[in-house]
Amino acid sequence: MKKKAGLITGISLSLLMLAACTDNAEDADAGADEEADTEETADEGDSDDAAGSDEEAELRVWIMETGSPEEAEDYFDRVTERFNEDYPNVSVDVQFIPWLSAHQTLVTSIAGGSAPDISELGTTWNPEFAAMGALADMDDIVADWGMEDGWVDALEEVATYDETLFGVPWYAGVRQLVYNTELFEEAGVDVPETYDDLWEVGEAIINNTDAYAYPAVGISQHFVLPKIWHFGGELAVQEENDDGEMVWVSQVDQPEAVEAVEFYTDMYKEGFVPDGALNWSVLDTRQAFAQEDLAMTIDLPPGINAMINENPDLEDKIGVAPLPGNDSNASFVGGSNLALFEQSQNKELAAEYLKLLVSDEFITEWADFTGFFPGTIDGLNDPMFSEDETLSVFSDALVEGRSYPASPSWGRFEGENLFVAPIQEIMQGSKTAQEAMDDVAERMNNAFSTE
Amino acid sequence: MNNRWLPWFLLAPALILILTLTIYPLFNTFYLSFRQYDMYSLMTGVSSWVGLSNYTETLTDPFFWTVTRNTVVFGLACVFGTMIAGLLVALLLNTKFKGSRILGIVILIPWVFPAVAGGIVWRWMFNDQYGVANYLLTQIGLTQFDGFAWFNTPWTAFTVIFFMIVWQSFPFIAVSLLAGFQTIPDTLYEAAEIDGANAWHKVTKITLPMLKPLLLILFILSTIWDFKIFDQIYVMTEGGPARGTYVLALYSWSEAFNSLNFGMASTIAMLMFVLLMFFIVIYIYFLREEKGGKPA
Repeated sequence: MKKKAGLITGISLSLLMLAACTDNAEDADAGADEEADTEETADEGDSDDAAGSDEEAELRVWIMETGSPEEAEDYFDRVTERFNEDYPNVSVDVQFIPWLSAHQTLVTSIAGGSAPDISELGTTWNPEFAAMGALADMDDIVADWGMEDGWVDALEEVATYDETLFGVPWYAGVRQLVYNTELFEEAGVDVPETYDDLWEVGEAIINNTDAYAYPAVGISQHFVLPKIWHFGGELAVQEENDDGEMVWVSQVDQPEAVEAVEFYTDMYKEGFVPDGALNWSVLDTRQAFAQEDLAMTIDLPPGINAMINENPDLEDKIGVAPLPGNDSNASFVGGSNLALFEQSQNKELAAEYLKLLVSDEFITEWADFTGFFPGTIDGLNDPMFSEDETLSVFSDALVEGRSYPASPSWGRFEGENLFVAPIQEIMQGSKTAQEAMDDVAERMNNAFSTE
Repeated sequence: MNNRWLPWFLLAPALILILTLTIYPLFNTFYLSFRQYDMYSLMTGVSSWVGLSNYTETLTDPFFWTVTRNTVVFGLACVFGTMIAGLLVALLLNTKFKGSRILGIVILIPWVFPAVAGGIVWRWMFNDQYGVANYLLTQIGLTQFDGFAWFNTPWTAFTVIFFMIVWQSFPFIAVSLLAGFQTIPDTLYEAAEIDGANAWHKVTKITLPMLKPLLLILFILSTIWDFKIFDQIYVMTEGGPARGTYVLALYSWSEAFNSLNFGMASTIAMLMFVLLMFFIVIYIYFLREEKGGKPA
C-alpha cells in the first residue's frame, strides 16, 4: 500500500523529474546484474533476510568527486553489484559531483524537482537541507537497522534537526596537532599541552630556529573556532525565546571566545607566521610545513600524506599529538553524511542501498580510500584505525570531537566566509577582537532569527 | 509567404536568442530585485513582494558604498591604464621597426590567456614568500620587499590586480588602435610635415582627433569590461583581505550563491546596471557632441 501511494504522489510531483530521470537511465551499469557474484552471497549469509525483490527501479546517487575517480567508480561498481544480488532489477546511477559546485547543484536540483535519491552532504549542510524540507526522515529506517546508537556523536548531532534524524554519518575526520620533531629538538621544546605551553614553544621556535612556529593564518575557520571551546567558550547555544521556541544564540562575543580569538591573532602579530599568513589558507600552511618552514600545523591524515608526498624527507620527522587545550581540547569533526531525499520515489530501495554503504563491509574501505574515518562506531573500531599509532590519535579525537552548531544557517556562514574577514581585520589592526566578534555575533543572530 | 511577415520570420532566430538570453534575464533580475527570494523560494517557488526594501537596505548599507567606490575607482583606473598602455604600444608598433610584426603577435599572448589561469599565475608571482616579484624587487636593492605581503591590504592587493587587468586587456586596445591608424590617409601627415609639424604634433593634432570615434567605443567597451570584473579578483583574493577587494560583481555573486539571497543579489546587479548606464551615457554624450560640431 505504502509503495503505491508513494508512486502516485511521485507521478504527480512533476513531469520535469521524469524527464530528468529518463536521461540518466543509460549510464547505469546495465551489466551489473549478470556479473553478480553468487559466492559472495554465500559468504555473507547474515542479515539479508527478508530483503530482496524483483522490483524494477532506478536509483540516482550523488557522491562528491575524489582524488582518484577510477578507484571510486570501481568501489561503487562493487557496492552496486552487491546490491543487485538482492535487487537484480534496480539500476543504480552513481554520479560524481565536484565539492566546489555541489551545494549549488543540490539546491538547483531540489528546486527543479530532480533531486537524487541519495546524496553525500557536507555535514554543515545537513541542517540546512533538513530545514528546507528536502531530506527524508531516517529515524525509523535507522531503528530498523538497529543502528540507533551506532554513530559518532558529533556527526549524529549535525544530522539531527528538530530531534529527527535527517541523514547518517558516513565518513569524517578531525584535525590534530602535527609537528616537526627535528625543529622541536632544535628549539629544545616538548609537545605543548596548554595554550601557555603553546606560546612558550612558539617563542622558542622563532627565536632558536629559522622556521616559523604555528599556523595562526587568516583563512581557516577550523583553526580558530575550536579554540573558542578550548578557552571555555561556545559558538552558539540554543535558548528558549519569548514565544517558547528554541533558537540559537551566538556566544562568540562572550569573554572566553574573545580571549581565544585574541590569543590566535596575537600569535600572528607575534610573528609565529610570516606577515603574508594573513591571506594563508590551509593549502599555504601545508606548503610551508612541507618545506620545513613551519614547525607546527593542524591537519588531517590526508593532509599529512600530501605533505609527505611533497617532501619525502618529512616522513621520519612528523609527530602527531592531541590539540593543546585549556578547558577542553576537542577537535572539530567534519565530514560527510549520506541523506535520502524527500523527492525520492524509491525511498525503501534507496534506504537499502544506503545500508550497504554504511555496513562494515564497505564503510571502512571508503574511509580508508578517502583518508578519513568511518562515521560508525563499529567501523571506527576496525583495527585498521584503532591499532595504528598515528591514526589512533585521530580516531580517539573523533569520538571525543565536537561539531559546529546544527543550525540551518551554518552552511551559509561558511559560504559567506563569515569567520574569515573578522580574523583578518583583527590581524590588520583595524578592529579589536571584541569589536570584530561583536560584529560576527550580530550577523549570526540576524541569521538565526530568520530560521 | 506573406511579404510582410518574411522579415520577422528571418529575424526570428536572432530575436529568440536575444529575448531568451538577454531580455528575459534582465527583466527577471529586475523582477527579483523587488522580492524576498531565498533558498526556500528556490524549493517552493514562492517568494514575497517586498517593494523597495531590498533597495533601501542596500543603499543604506555603508558596505555597499565602499564596494561601489572600489568598483568606480578601480574600474576607471583600469580603463585609463589599459587605454594608455594600449595607445603607447599601438604607437610603437606603428613605427614599423625591425621585428615589429613579431612583437605585434607576442603582445597578443596576455589577451588570449584565460583570465583564471592568468589570475593564478599573477597570484603566484606576488606570493610573499616564493613570488618572483618580491625576489626581483629585493635583487634591485628594494629590501623592504623581502617577504612583502601584497595581499594584506586592499590598496596593495588592488595594485597587483590593476597591473594584471591592464596586462590582460591592453592587447585588444593596441590592436584596435593599430587598425585605426591604418585608416588615416598618409596625405594628412605629409601635409603636416610640409607645414613643419613634429611627431608630437602629428599624434595630438592628427592621429588622436581622427581616431576619436574609435577611442570612444574602446572606452565604452573597457568600461563595461572593467566595471564587471569578477574572475581575476575571485581567483587572486576572493575579495579579501577582510572583504577589502570586493567589487559590485563579486558582491552580487556572493549574495546570490554564498548567502542564497537572490533578491538582494538582483538588487545589487540592477544598481550596477544603472551605474554602467550612467558612464555609458556620458561617453555617448561626448560622441554626439563631436558629430554635431564643426566639420574638421
